[in-house]
Amino acid sequence: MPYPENLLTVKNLSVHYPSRSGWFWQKKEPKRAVNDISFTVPRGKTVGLVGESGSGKSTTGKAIIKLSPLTSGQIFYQETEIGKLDGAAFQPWRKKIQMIFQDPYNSLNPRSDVLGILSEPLEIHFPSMTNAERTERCVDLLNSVKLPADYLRRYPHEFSGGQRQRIGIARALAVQPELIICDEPVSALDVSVQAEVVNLLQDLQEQLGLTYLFIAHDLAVVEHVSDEILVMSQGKIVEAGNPTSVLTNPQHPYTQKLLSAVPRF
Amino acid sequence: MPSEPLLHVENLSITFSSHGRTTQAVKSISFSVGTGEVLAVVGESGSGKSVSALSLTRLLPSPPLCNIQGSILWRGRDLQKITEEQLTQIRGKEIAYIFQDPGTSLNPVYTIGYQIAEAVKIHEPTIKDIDAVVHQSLHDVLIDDPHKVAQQYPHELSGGMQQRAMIAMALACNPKLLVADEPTTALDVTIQKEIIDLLKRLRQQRKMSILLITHNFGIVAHFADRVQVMRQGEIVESGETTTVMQNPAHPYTRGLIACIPRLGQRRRRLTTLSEEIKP
Repeated sequence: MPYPENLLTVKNLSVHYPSRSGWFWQKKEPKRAVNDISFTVPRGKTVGLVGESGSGKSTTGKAIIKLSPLTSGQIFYQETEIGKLDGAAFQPWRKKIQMIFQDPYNSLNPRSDVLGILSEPLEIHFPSMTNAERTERCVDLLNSVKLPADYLRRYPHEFSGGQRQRIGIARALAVQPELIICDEPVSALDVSVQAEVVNLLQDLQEQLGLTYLFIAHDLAVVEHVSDEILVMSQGKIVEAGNPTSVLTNPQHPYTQKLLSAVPRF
Repeated sequence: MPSEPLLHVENLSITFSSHGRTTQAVKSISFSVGTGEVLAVVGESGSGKSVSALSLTRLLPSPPLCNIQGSILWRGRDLQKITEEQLTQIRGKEIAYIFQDPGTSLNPVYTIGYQIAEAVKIHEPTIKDIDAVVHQSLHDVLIDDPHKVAQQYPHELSGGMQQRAMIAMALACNPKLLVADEPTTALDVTIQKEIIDLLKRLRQQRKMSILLITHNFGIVAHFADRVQVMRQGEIVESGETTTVMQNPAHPYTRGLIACIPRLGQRRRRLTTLSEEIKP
């Protein structure tokens, strides 16, 4: 049984995609994007997931909120096995688990103003809210990501990358989640903006007691934010542990190779 | 620094106009690149670093959309004053470019070999055995099987291989200056290291100059001889790489370097730029 202090427990998770090619679309060996991985995310902590493109780190994040199909394995949210819930049965957990995406340019609806973007999750998960309450909540959300309230009537194209990422964070916070899956949240940002967004995520964690699964390829950023780090390569977790010890004394050859490639100054 | 720089840019200003609004992207900057030298240009998005590199060979829209002022002296000739035909002899042959995203810079409907051959045919019409040049240039960027890769289409290659193919294409005509605009930003760190090591080696072999545009100070520290920092269309600081990196003089450079989280130096909070020095 999973321990209750672990908000998320992943056991032997595998995600395989079928692949077909050649004559008559013959079935080939499936692509093993995630191959039998297990880890836990303790409440109030940040677990960092690093690896190169194609290592399966994003697929892992998506599998947790059912954006990727599960091939085998179990996913527990506290004591509930959410991996086998489907459709409406999973709905209450969509409120507890939210996601922030890498690309703040493509993850916001260009035809909707900020009020619309932030209200949509509220309409779904808090249907009893009145319009006035919703607007008030949206203003609070903008405040919490340090954006002025008069941005409510503006559209995504009017904002810089950093401001859009803040709106993405505000949208994730709208439904008062406990766990946020951050998929490369700062990779598309300039270093100065990256620092501001990382600090904001850490402030929000302290204020709201949030738990993060932080997926990124930048080892220094992951070391900075994480309480625990998982290194993924070819669908498997090859190394796990305290970020400073993993990154100063890597045991697995893949982690060693990854670290030696980082240009330092 | 050699006495006569390969490229000398003096008081370059670039202004864009659209819908009656004008934006000055580059504000009267001057810089030079010596023979065999690697000059890095660092700065945040919108600082004017890519635009100034594109302006060198008229890769920006023509007036009235875009106005370029100042002089661009290439081996003593002002590129602003020569005809389009004369510029074609320089662009791609003497000054070659590689860009951030190899996936969108390569033409998806032609093979790698065809695209490299195209550049060679335009700039070296006397060469008979073009295939040999194509295979040699792929071989030079450490592609194991040049014959196979020459027949492949861009989508059949990984990001790292695509960028190698881009470099092979840029170097097929032996340019004197390679403009590398964020060449590794879209790549994984292990591939990034391979590409940077490759550029280092090619630069040594060919005594080629490189204008490297990047926002990664780690790459600057390991690769560039000199660095200039841009902010809002101006060069706020320039100098020898070690001097600028170890003793940044301008508050913006200091702020930018301080923002970057570094491995093994965990802090409670990241430093951010103060309001006065934000672009």
